[in-house]
This record gives sequence, C-alpha cells and structure tokens, in this order.
Amino acid sequence: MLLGEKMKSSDIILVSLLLSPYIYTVYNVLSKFTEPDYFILLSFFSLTGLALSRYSSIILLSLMLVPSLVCFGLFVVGNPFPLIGLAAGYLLALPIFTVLTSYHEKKIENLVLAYLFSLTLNIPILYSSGAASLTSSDIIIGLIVNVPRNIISGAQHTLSQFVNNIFTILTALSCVILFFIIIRRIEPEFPKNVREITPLIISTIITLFLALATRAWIYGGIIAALSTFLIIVGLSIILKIVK
Amino acid sequence: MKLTRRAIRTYQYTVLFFSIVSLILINHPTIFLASVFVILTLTLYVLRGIRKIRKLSGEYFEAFLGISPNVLSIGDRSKVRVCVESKIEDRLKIEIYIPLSGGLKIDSGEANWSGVIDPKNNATMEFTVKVEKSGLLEVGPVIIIVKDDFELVCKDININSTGLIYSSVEPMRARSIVTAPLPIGFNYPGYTSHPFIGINEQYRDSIQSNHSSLKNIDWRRTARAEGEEVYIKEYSKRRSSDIILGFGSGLDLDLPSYGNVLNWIVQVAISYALYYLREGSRIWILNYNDGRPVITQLKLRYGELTLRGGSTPSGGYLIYISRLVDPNELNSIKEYLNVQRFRVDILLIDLLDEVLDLVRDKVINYEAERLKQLASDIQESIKLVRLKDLISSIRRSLASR
Repeated sequence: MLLGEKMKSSDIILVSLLLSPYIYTVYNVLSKFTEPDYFILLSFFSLTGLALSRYSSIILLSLMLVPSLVCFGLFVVGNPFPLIGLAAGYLLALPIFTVLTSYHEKKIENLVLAYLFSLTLNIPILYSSGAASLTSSDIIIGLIVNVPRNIISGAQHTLSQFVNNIFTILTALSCVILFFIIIRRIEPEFPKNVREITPLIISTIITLFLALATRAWIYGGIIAALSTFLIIVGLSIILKIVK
Repeated sequence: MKLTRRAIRTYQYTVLFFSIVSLILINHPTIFLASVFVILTLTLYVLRGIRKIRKLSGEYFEAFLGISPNVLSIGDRSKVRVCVESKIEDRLKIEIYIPLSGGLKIDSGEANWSGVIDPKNNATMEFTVKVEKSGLLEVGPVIIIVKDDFELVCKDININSTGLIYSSVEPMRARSIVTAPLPIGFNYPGYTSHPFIGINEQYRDSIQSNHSSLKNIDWRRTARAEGEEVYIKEYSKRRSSDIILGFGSGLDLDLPSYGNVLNWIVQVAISYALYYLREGSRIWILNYNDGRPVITQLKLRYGELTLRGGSTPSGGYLIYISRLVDPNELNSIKEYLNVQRFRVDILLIDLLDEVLDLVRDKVINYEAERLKQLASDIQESIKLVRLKDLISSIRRSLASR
C-alpha cells in the first residue's frame, strides 16, 4: 500500500463499512474506560493516521517515535502506565492498520489474508472488553495473559449477547463489502447487471442462514468445524466434477 | 480448466486461517461465518466463471503468426508478429503466450500479452528473437489463456499456428544454377530455361489430330491452317512436384563428427531440395516435435530462402527422415497429413556406426534390434540408412519424386 494514498469518497464509504467490526471493537473497548487515557488515544490515532494521512511518513513516524521514547523514559524512571497505554493503543489500532495498509494491495488474495488476519487479532481485543470497566493495563493483561491461558486451558470467553450479535452482523456486512471491493478491483464496471451479484446474494443468504442455525444450536467449535469441513469438501467435489 | 493463482491462494488462505484460528486459538462464530462466506462466494463465482468459459475452444479464435525473416544464420534477429482474433461477441479476458524453442532468445518486446479481446479489438503482439542455435527452431504454438470476468478460472487453448525458423551456421542463399536450352524432354532438374517450368505441365508441340474434344486445341495453329486441319497441344511430363521433407524423432543429439545430427540432416536435405525448389517444385518442411507435427513451406523470394506457414500440401511425396523413437510418431503424421494422398518414403536413420565407441554393447544390441523390428513392422516404404549414406539416399529419394 502506498501510505496515505488519496481515496475517493466511494472508497471512504467502502473502507468505513469494511472496518465497521473493528471500529465497533474500538468503540466497545474505549467506552469501558472509566478514566480517559490520553496515551492510548495518542498511539491509536498515530498508527491509524500513518495509514490514512498523506503527510510524509517520516513526520508521522517521528510523531510515533517521540511519544514512544518519552513513555519509555518515564518507564525507566518508574512510571510504567504511559508506556502500557501506548502499547494498548497500538494493539487496538493494529487490525485497522493491517486492513488499511493492505487496502490497495494488487493481489486480492493478500487482501483476503490481511482481512482474516485482522479479524483474528480483533476478536481477542473484543474479548478483553468483556469486563465492566477497563484500563490500558487490563487490555494488555487480557491479551498477553488471559488469551493464552484460555487457549491452553480450553476455557471459553464470554461476551454479552448484544455485543456478539452486533459484532457478527457488522462482520457479515464487512465480508460482503470485502468481496464487493475485490470484485470492483478486478472489474471496475461491476455490477453491470443483477446476474453478476447473484452469487454474492446467494452466499450472503446461506451464510446468514448458517449464522442463525449456529446461534440456535448454541455455537460449538465441533459443529462449526464439521460444517465448514463439509462445505469445503462439498465445494471441492463440485469443482472437481465441473470441468 | 483450472483455478487461477488468485483463487487457489484465496481458498488456501481461508482454509488455513479457519483451521488454525478457529480450531486452535479462538472460538467465535464470526471466524466460522467469515470463512464460510469467503469460500462460498468464491466458489459460486468460480462456478459462474466455469460456465462462461467451458465451451470455448480453438474454433473461437483465429491466430496469425508471422516470422520475418525465418531463414537466417546464428546471431541474426527475426521479428515475430502475432495477431489473435476472437469470434465471440462477448468481451474476453485473455493472456497470450508464445513458447519459443531452445536457441531462440527474446531480443526486444515480450512473448506474452494480456488484455481484453472482442471481435472489434484484436490482440496484436510483436517481438524480436535472436537466434543462438542452428537448425529448425519453433515459435509457437499460440497459447491463449482465457479467463472469466473475475479471473478466478482459466482455460488454456492451444492454437495450432506454430512458425518455424531455420537457422544455419553461416548465411544461406539459394545458389543460382546454370540453365541452358536443351532438347525438350530432357528431364533433369535445373537444366532448362523454360519460363513456365514447374508452374504447369510443359508445352512441347502441337500436332495434327482429328480429336473431337475441344480440350487442348491449339487455336492459333488451327487458325493458321485456315481451319482445314485441327491441331492439339501435346505436353511433356510435368516436372514439378510437391515434396515434403519430414524430420522426425530421435535425431536431436550431438555426435563428435556431425555436431547436432538433426541440424546436419536438415541442412543436407534443404541444400539438395533447393535445386528442386528452383525448378518449380513445391517443398514443405515437416518437423515432428513432442507428438506435434509442424509444417511450413520452403519458398524462394528474390533469391532468398524463406519459410511460409499456413500452407499444407494436399498430396505429394513425403521423405520422412527419423529414428522413430516415438511410438506414436507415424500415427500422428498420418493423422496430420492424411497420408493416403502421399507417396511416403521413410529413411530410418541408423546411428550404430557413429555411437559404437560411445555406448555399451547392450545399448547397441537393443538399438539394432529395435531398428530391425521397425523395418519389418512398418507397412510404408522404409529404408534403413546409415548417417554417412544419408546424402546419397536423400538425392536418390528426391530424384525419384
């Protein structure tokens, strides 16, 4: 990606929709802060700005480096909280930064990979917002300590039904937008007719149906793994047959 | 039909992502749904793409491949021009790729093209190749990779429009031959100055006849006789003929005294065929390479030799020089040429004398047995020829055209 490449208004709308689950996660995390932490905001906006701004990347890198060095200095003299706040801000911004930097990627498969990678990063951040109130330290501890501990112990994270539903809907919308962006990248005139978007509509309906079904079954990893495996095998067979 | 790199990568990344993240690290419905959505949408578009391009074949395209000059010497450059026309109304995303045989190197331009083609917009590409090896070198065939609109599936279509380049170690020109008026009927090649020789049968004389058919009447002579006698034209035997020099499998090897055997044979055959070309015979060169015969016509243009593709003889005399190491070789040639219309003379090359000191006895015995078996099995006229006797065999075969 060319850092700070100029975007058209249609691009801005599409990127906003593409980033909607990540933006929601950031909102969800920051809304749990009882006291404002300016360092988390500083690092979050500096990293996001690096991807969005059209200013010289040297200036933006300096804007990132100076607070980092100051915070590190404070850490050395015995005040670790600014550094923790800064780190938490970078972690919050990382999924958004990844998607933004890969937005202009010419190889669409890399865009898909970056998107899925960001989604993976985003979910632990969302999990860390499960507490009633948050500080930067809680985010860091949640990501560094709780996530690996839960992976090892097999314990399940819990999120409120409302947060889960909003996040799922936004991710579904974001996925559709991802494909729309990809297809527009390949075929700028897309969609020329309704038939061109039919597969997109069909897959959206099927995925929504699956979303409802998995919610009804009280989502379990085994069911999800099995159904995805069946879908992949089924589609592979279809592709093998249709020559 | 196959998936493009982008579709394969997207599938791989999604499945990898799902298996690692969902099953090992994080258990959230979004991971499952995102993976399913990506795979499902991709597959539906892949199926759509397959539906669009599955019926396409070589019949829907026309390719013109021109090489100029195509008879040259090592170090020379040749310009290749390829034009591909589509006969389909829809716009198609295609890639064109022209493979080059070893010994040809791209000098300028590119041997591939990608873009959109429709009946109004042809794909044209030009590039220059530098010849680095002597012998018969192939340019082509034209390979068209048709893609669907979203470039998720593609299909390779092979257009049989291969061009040949003949390169010699030194510059090659058609030697001028001495011609002199000789008695009519003297049927040696290259010894007559008659301007129409080779184009048609040679007019010899008009003789008086009571023949009732109007065909072949010499109207001028009959008119001079004031209609009292009818003269008909009599023709000598046609001197020109259609000759195909075929070069088959197992010859592309290097021997100490001959260099590359195929190149040496091609050079010998073409140099003797030049006399017949000058006389008016039409000569084609047939190159059999990896199960794919390619034919091109050898022509003289302002004293310069040139190869002209796109022309296939409908009959004539095929002199096929080969070691016949490819078991399907003769069948391919028969299918390609419809050999019922050709008189075939196979010169089966015996290299045993040349390789006697180079390989083990077991190999020699095997090769001797193979040649013997081939000579007895093949129905067509076949002659077992040692390399040192090849020149005289080619001369004899050409003289007996």
